[in-house]
This record gives sequence, structure tokens and C-alpha cells, in this order.
Amino acid sequence: MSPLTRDRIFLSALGGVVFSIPLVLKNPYYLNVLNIVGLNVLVVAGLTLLIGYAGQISLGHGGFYAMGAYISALLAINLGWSPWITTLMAMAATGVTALIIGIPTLRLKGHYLVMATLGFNLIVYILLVQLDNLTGGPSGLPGIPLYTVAGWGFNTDLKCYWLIWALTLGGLFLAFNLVHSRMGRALVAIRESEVAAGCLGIETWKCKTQVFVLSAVMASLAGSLYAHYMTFISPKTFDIFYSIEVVAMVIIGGIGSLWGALLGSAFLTPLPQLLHFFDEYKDIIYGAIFMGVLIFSPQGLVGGLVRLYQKKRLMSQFKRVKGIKWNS
Amino acid sequence: MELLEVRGLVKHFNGVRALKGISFSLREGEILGMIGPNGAGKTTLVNIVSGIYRPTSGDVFFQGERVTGKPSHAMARMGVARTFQHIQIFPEMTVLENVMAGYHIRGSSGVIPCLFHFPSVRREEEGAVKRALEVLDLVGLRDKAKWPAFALPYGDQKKVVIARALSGNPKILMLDEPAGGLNEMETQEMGELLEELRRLGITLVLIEHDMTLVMDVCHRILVIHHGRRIALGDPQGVRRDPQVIHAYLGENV
Repeated sequence: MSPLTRDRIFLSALGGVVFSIPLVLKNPYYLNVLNIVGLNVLVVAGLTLLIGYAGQISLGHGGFYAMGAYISALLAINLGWSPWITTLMAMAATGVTALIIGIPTLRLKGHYLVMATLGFNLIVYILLVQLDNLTGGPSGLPGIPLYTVAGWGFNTDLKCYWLIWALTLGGLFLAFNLVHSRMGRALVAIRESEVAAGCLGIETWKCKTQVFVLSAVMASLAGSLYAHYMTFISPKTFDIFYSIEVVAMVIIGGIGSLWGALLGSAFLTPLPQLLHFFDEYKDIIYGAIFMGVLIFSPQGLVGGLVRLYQKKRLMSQFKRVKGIKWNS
Repeated sequence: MELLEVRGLVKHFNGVRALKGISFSLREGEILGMIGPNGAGKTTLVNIVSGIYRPTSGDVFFQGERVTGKPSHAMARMGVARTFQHIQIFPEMTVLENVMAGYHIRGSSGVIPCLFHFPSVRREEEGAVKRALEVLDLVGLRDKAKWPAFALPYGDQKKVVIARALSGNPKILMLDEPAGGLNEMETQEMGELLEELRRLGITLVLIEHDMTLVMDVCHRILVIHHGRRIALGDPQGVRRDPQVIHAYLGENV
């Protein structure tokens, strides 16, 4: 079975689970949490392609998430266009922005992308706060129109659950296609050795720029979905801490695996709420959990499992090849 | 026919003169050994030909076309492949994926077709797997195709990177110390692999310190010392060349 087939089978299984959850879980609060998880999976999946596969770090995806939310919301509010159209327009605008950031910085060797994206996120945040005539400033932007299909609006958590998770699973499907293809291998080659990748005919800066734009567009889509689902957005959602949080999800979930994106988002998104129980100790416990994962499984949750599996397989191969009995 | 021609190649690194005007040419189907003491400039020369460095002056011609200063991906696309002294394997990929990555230049699907997995992508994947298994057969690692590359012994990793370079069907393959760091048995296996490549008529540039290996497989040998060519000719002639003996053994021999 090819790795793509294997991942597609897992993804179908995940789809089955995702779409049967609402049959048992009716509480809108839980559905809301799951919706945010879904949006984060979309952002983190894109970021996993960028960080985990291509090895390029961005600390500005909160900015792309913000562009998706604000551009789509503002166009829909002020011009009265359909949120579906404005979502696509926001994706296009975000893609162009990422291209402008990526072209100069990704041609350079070294971690210039981190600095550029960090700066970009700060600029976006300042603009959102300062342009209060347009964006509503720190107090936020209310009254964002809902997505509608033939007069039927996505006006409940449950309806948005279907929409968000359908797109999230779709995004994962495309991402899996990408990683198990010529371009996916090129990205990993760039991460592992840029010089060797170049000598295999891979245009490293072009591939890096393409995956950076792709990850920005995925974040933008998630941002638009967030805006038209919540109908209210404020700059605080899109600050630098969001960018750091999604990078943390990439790392905790398992860098270099799209399944890690899913696990990392599902684990870290509800964690602060779960830890409310501990009151003022919650930050300490959050940090301790974070450190615990990195100490006991430095490759993240999925990475740890994969390593275990690989070890087992190698052991069985050795046994077969050498006929050695392993006692311990 | 001359596949590759290098004319008066000079390379300075901040005042360090690594190459001081090297010229040679490579004929189709031949194996050219490149020897010389450590620091002679062999790897620098390969780095220039493969497009990693730009020369300070001088020119590189490939199939009669001037290709000086072209980037490495363009050189690879034209058919110049290489391996590295510090192997540069992709450790987290499987052996098969490593070799499939070498097939990149034979494919053409971009990001969008790959995202949607168009039928053309599927055909390309099948082609890549087929070719990768072919070259893994050649280097004798087909049964380890599913192994993560980091788990292989060093000798096998060296074969994987050769297979990776071969899978794109290059016109020239430059091997930078394929037997470096290998034990006696592995070196012997590498020798057999090089013999096999020779039989297949693949044009090779071979940097190597193992003299038995070089003398056995190479048609001609280029000797570099302090960034200059001091000899070029068949193995027998080079072995007797007084300048070569001088460079390797010193003043008083």
C-alpha cells in the first residue's frame, strides 16, 4: 500500500469520526470548541507543510489569519458582497502578500523568513488597532454577515461545524496529496539538505516560496471562516501570540507530519479551557505539559508514535535478516 | 565527443586561491579520476562544475554550450549529477523516497497538479517508483527500499546517494570520495559498483583517495596540486609522473 493510500484511509476514518460527533454531542459550547479546533487544524496543516516539510519557520501566520478575517469581513460588510466571494478575494490578497514577503526573504540563506513574518504580524496588528475608522480598532468589528446558500444561513454552531470540518478535511486531503508527490519530496529534500536538493534539480527558492504562499492562503481561508462564523472579530485574536500558538501546535503535534497538525491542534486548542479548573496555576501546568511532551517525545505526539513503530519494524527486519533471537 | 570542457578555472575565497587556472575536458563514456592531496581543490572544482560556486574566472562548457555560473538546479536539469563527500542523504526519508527525489528533474508537475493529484501526477509517481526500484536494484539495495535512510549503515548510505544521483538519468555523474570512510569490505563493494557503472557506459568524474580503486576503474586521471593541474593521462603514465610522485611523497624521494 502506498503511503498516500494509507493516509487517505486514515483520513476517511477521521471523516467518519468527525461527522458522527454531532450525533452524540449537541452542546453548542463543545461544538464551538471543535469548530475552533477545525480552523486551527487548517492553519496548522499549512504551517506544517512550511515548517515541518520545507523547514522554513514563520512567526506571522496570525497576520495571514487576520487578513483572511478582516478583508473578507470588511468587503462583505461595506460592499454587501457574498461572503463566499469575499473569502476567495481575501485568499487571493493574502497569497499576493505572502508572495511579496517570500520572494526576497526566501532567496536568502538563513532564517530571514522568521524576522520578516514576525515584523509583518506586528504591522498587521498595529494597522488593525490604529485604523479604527475602518476596522473598529481594539473594540472589534461586529455584524459580519453569515455564509448563506440559497437563503439558508450558516447560523448555528452545528451548521458551521459541517462547513468548517468539510473544508478542513478537504484541506488535509490536498495537503496529503502534495506531500506524497514530486513537490512534497522536493520540500523535504530542501529541509534535509538545501545544497543536495539544488543538485537534484530542485529550484529551492521557488519551492519554498510556493509552499509559503500556500500556507498563507490556508490560514487566510481559516480566518475568513472564523469571521463569518463568529460574526465578530477583534485584533486580539490575531496578535503575535496566535502565531506562536500555531507554531507550538506544529511542534507538539509532531513536526513533519500532517497528522501532527491534527493532534497538536486538537490537544492545545482546548487545553487552556480545560486548565481553568486550576485557576492561577493554569499557566504553570500548561507550560509543564508542553515541556513534558518535548522531553519525553521530542518529535511531538505523532513523531513519538512513528519512531516507536519504526523501531519495532526495524527490529523485526533485523530478526528476519539475521535470525537473531532478541530476549529483552 | 567532449561532453564537458573546463577552461582556465580560477576560484578565490577571500584571498585564498583554491584554484589557479585548471583546464581539462571529459569525453563521453569515460571515467576520469581526480586525485590530489587534501586541500588541492578537487571538491572546489566539482562545486563549480555542478553550479554551487561561481568561478572567479574561467569557463565551463557543457556539450559545447557555455554554462559558467549557472545555478545548481539548472546544471542538474542539463544532466550534471553529483554526490557529496559528506553524503548529504535525506535521513528522514525512506531509501525509496531518497532515490525518488532524484527523479525530480524527470517530472514536471507543479504545486497545483500535485495538490489535486491529477492523473498526470499519478503516472509520474508510478514512473518515479519504477525508476527508483531499477537503480536500487543496480546498487543492490532494493530489499531495503522501505527503510528510513538514517537507519542504514554508512556504506549503504553511500550507495543510496549514488542511486539518487543516477535516478534522474544524468549525462555526467561526479562522485566525491565514494569510498571515503568505508571499511575494506564496503570499499570492495563500491569498487564493484563502479565497475558496473563503467560497464553501463556512464560518464563519471571520480574523486577518490583509494589509489587501487582509482587505478582500477579510471580511463584517465587528472592530478591536482595546490589548485593547479600537474598531470593528466592514463593511470600508468600518471603513476610514473615525477611531479605526481613529488606531490604525494615530498621532496626527497
